[in-house]
Amino acid sequence: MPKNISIEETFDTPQIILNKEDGIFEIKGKTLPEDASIFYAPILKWIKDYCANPNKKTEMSMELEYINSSSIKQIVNILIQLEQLHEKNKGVVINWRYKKGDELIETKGKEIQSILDLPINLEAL
Amino acid sequence: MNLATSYSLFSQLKTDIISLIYLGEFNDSMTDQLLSLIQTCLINKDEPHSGNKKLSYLTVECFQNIFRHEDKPELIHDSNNIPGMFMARNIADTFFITTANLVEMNKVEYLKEKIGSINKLSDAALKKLYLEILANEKLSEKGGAGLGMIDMVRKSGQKLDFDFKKINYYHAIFYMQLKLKSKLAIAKKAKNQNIPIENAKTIHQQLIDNNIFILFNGNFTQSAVMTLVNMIEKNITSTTDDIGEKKKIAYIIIELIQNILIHGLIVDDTRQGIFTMGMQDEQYFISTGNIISNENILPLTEQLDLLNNKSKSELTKMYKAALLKEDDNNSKGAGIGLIDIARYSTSDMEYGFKKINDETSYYSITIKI
Repeated sequence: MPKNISIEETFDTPQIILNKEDGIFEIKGKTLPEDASIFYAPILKWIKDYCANPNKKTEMSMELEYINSSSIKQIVNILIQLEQLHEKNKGVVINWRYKKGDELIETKGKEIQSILDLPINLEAL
Repeated sequence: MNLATSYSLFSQLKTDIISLIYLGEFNDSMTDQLLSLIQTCLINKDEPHSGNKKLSYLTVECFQNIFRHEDKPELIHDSNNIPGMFMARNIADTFFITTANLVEMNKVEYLKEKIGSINKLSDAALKKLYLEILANEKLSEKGGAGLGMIDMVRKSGQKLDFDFKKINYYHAIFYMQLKLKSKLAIAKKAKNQNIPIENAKTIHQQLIDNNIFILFNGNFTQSAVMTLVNMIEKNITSTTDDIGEKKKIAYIIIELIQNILIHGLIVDDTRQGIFTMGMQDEQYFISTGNIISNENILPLTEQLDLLNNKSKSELTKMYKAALLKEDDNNSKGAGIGLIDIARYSTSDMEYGFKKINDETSYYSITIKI
C-alpha cells in the first residue's frame, strides 16, 4: 500500500487528502488543470491500490468550487473504482458538498449520482 | 459577435503579448481586480520590481482618472450612452494604457491646452510644476489638481497622447494614451513601439457596436484563466447575485479558454487567443477566437452541428455516456467540454472559420447564456 497522499491546494488544483489509517478521503477546492489526467493519475492509482486492500468503510468527501470538464472525467474514473468496491463490500459513501446556490456543482453531483450505483449524499453548505 | 468583427479585433491585436480592454461602469472597488489581472497577465515575470511598481501605479492613476473626471450626461439617451474604456496593451514589453471617457464640450479646449503644455515641459520643469501645485494645495473640485497628468508624464518619461471625438453639442469622448517602456525593454534596447491613438478609437467603437464589455487577447496561460474568471465575476456581481449563474458563466469561460490552450495552433512562437464577453438582448454572450489547423475544420464543424441539433435531454444523455466511456489516451476530456457547453448554451452555438492560408484558419465560437 503506497504512502498516504496529502497535496496542498494551488490556484488550479485541489487539496487532496487520502489517508487509509485515519479513514480520511477528501478532495477540496478548485480543479481545473489543463490536462487533469496527468494531475489525477497518481490519485487514481492510489485509489485502485486502496480498493485492493480497503477499509471496511470508506467515506469520501468532495467539496469543489470550480471544475473543468477534464477534471469531471477523472473524478468519475475515481468514483467508478469506488463503485466497484461498494459492489463488493457495501461500505462506501460519497459526500458531495457545494456552496448553497451553486447550481453548477450541485447539478454535477446529481448527474454523477444518476450514472453510478454508489450512495452519494448531496450537501449544501 | 460575428466572424468578421472577431477576426478584425484578433488581427488588430496580433502584435500584442497581452491586451486587456474593459468597457462600462468604473468604480474604486474594481481597482484590486484590475491590478491583479495586470500583475498576473500583463507584466513579464522577469520584469524587475521597480518596473512592476511603476506600471501598477500608472495603471491605477489612469484607471481612476476615468471615473473621477468623466462627465456623465444628466439625461442619458442613445447618442450619449457611451461607456468609458480602459485598455492595457503589452507590445514587446512596452505598455500602452489608453482610457476613454465622456467630457463636457466646454472642457475640451482646457484639456488640450493643459496636456499640450505639460507635454512641452522638460523633466526639470515638470518636477518644479509638480512641487508648486503640491505646495499650493489648490485642489480642483474633483481632487488631484492636475497632478495626475504631470505625474504620468514624469513617471512614464513619455508625452501623453490624446484626442477627442465629439458626439453631440454637449459631450465629447476624451481619449488619453500613456506609453511606458518596461525595464526589460530598456535593458534590451528594444525597438521603439508606437500605436496611434486612432487605433484605440476604432477598437472602442467596435466594442460599443458589438455590446462587448470585456476583451482579453494574447498568449493565454493557465494562470490567466482564474484571474480572468475572478475579474468577470466581480464585474457581473452588480447585475446578478445569483451564484448559480456566475458559476455557469465561469465554467463556460474556463472551458472555452482551455480549448484554446489545448487546440490552438502556435504561430510565430505564440498561441494567440482572443476572448470577449458582452451583453445583448439581456443575455450574456461569450466568444473566443484562435488559429487552428485546416484539417480540424471538418471534424469541428461536424461536432458542433451535431451538438446544435440535439435537444437538451439528448445532450445530457451524450454527456453522461461520455463520462462513463473508457479513457482513450489522446483525448483530454473526450469532447465532454463541448457537450457541456452546448447544454448551458441558450441557443445554437455560433461558429465560423476564416481561411488564412493553405494550412491554417481563424476559428471563432460564440455561446449565449
